[in-house]
Amino acid sequence: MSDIIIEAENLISRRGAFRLDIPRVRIFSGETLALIGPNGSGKTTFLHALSFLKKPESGRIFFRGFEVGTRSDAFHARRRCAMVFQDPLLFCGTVEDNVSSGLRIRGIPRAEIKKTAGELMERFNLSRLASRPSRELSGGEARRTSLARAFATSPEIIFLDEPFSSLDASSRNGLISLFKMNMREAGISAVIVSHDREEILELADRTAVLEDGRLTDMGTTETVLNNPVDEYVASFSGMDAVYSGKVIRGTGGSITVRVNGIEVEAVSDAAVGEDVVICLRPENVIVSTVRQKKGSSVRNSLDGSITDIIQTGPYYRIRMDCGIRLQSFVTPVSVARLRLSVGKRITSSFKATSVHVIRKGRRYPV
Amino acid sequence: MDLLADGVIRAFRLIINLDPEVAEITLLSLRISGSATLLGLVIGIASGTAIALASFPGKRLLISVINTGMGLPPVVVGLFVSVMLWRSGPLGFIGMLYTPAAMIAAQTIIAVPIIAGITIAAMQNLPENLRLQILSLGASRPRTVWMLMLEARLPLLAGVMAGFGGAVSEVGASIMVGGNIRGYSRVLTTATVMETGKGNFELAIALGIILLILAFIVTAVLTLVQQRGGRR
Repeated sequence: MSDIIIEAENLISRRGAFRLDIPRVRIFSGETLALIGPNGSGKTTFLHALSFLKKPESGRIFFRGFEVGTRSDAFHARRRCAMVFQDPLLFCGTVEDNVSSGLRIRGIPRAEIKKTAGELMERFNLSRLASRPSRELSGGEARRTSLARAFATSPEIIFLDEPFSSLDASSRNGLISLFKMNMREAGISAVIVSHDREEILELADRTAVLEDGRLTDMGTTETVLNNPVDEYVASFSGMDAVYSGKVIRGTGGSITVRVNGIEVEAVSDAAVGEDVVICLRPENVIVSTVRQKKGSSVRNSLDGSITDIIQTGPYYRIRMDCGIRLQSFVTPVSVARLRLSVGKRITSSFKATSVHVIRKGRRYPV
Repeated sequence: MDLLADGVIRAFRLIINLDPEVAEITLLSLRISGSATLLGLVIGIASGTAIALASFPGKRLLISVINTGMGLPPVVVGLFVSVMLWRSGPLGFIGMLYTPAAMIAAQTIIAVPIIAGITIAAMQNLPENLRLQILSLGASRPRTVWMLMLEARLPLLAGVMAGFGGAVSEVGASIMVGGNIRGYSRVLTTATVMETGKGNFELAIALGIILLILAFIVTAVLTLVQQRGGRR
């Protein structure tokens, strides 16, 4: 992770009225960087600029320390990169034709193309489909072909724009594992645009958050997702209770936020009167049928009722209305013991330290 | 009905006996319309691709002008080419009026917007990111354009067929700029009009059938080429 493969400075790119403005970003050799952000935040525009597919309006981009300024520079840089789009975008012809297309473009001898394409098809479980026309492939097979085509040219960095979306869960998981294995073997860098938390947790070393064309956060994936910088990242990272409120009291880092007429205690530097957003993870919310006894370290206990009980794999998702809508994950044993049912009166509790506070309007320096 | 049946019988007799005059007219039709289609293909596909891939102000207006040109009335084209090539016209010094070359020019003008219009639609119908995907595979810009054309080859060949159809079937412009001179600029369409005018329906029907067979053979060959790669 020491060598810088791509570095961008003062990057400005426009697409109609939209403006992407990135003061500085570095991508290191061997790392996978995820780009997340709401729709229209500029992820794809950023990806196209970083992959030398669209020249930015201004700013400088370096590939392995050399500035990529001219069309010819971009052409040569592109030959050391690869791109995988959301749509597999396969060409007419067979799977083998597609996997070898990048090699044919480079004018590599036929025998070598055959050998490399054969190896890649084997790595991506495509050997038996080698002579199958691309139009006859299933969604998963087409994605594998598109990934094999990208790896075939031995790129130093691979850019991926939501490459695993709109696939069923089993195909998606299989494809992610296959991609991860090939990434590890090839030891290359990647920049991946994704809307999927599991995908990012599995693949990305670092994550950058984009909003309205600006980077609002960047760091290790764990740090970025555990300390959401905005409502989008909070929802993205699995915090399902996201509410705007106002700080009404505060002493020594402990604050009280009024949300929807109720008071929630949290830990933050936010000042009294400041507008904030509070977020909670379902795993931090405890459901009980009796109010928490005084003396407990739990600072928040809200009375309410159960609105929905959904079985999600090995546990239940309990939805509650406690002045604010909350969720909690509960085991089947607890559901039975507490006799939880829709409409039952309950108390939801959570610690002040488990409430994440986002201070509105504050940009985190990148 | 007798008239039609006689016409069909006579057509096949003319074909089987290889009537020298009919053979000459047929070959000239093929040469003129084939040349016009070939020129239309080069100009139409090149300009259509450039227009489809480029971004410039007035692009939509230009596309709508080209689309209007797909229904260009041949007599208007004939009039325009005649005026241009008239002895006192801007290109009169070439001395091209009433020659097969003038007919090729007129038919090319008819074929170009048809091929260009269909090319624009075909290229614009390709997936939005396909051009970027090809570039990302390391292709140069000319190679990218070539690969995009290959991906759009089915509608592009349909455009060529429509262009040939437009050229081979037009009559107004050919009479106006070719003059329908026997053994020199008489083609199947102009000959059919002339024979119909003379009330010589059997021969007119025979020429019409030969024209249909010619159009069928050419489009069948193009269809075979088109379908060889199969549907995408």
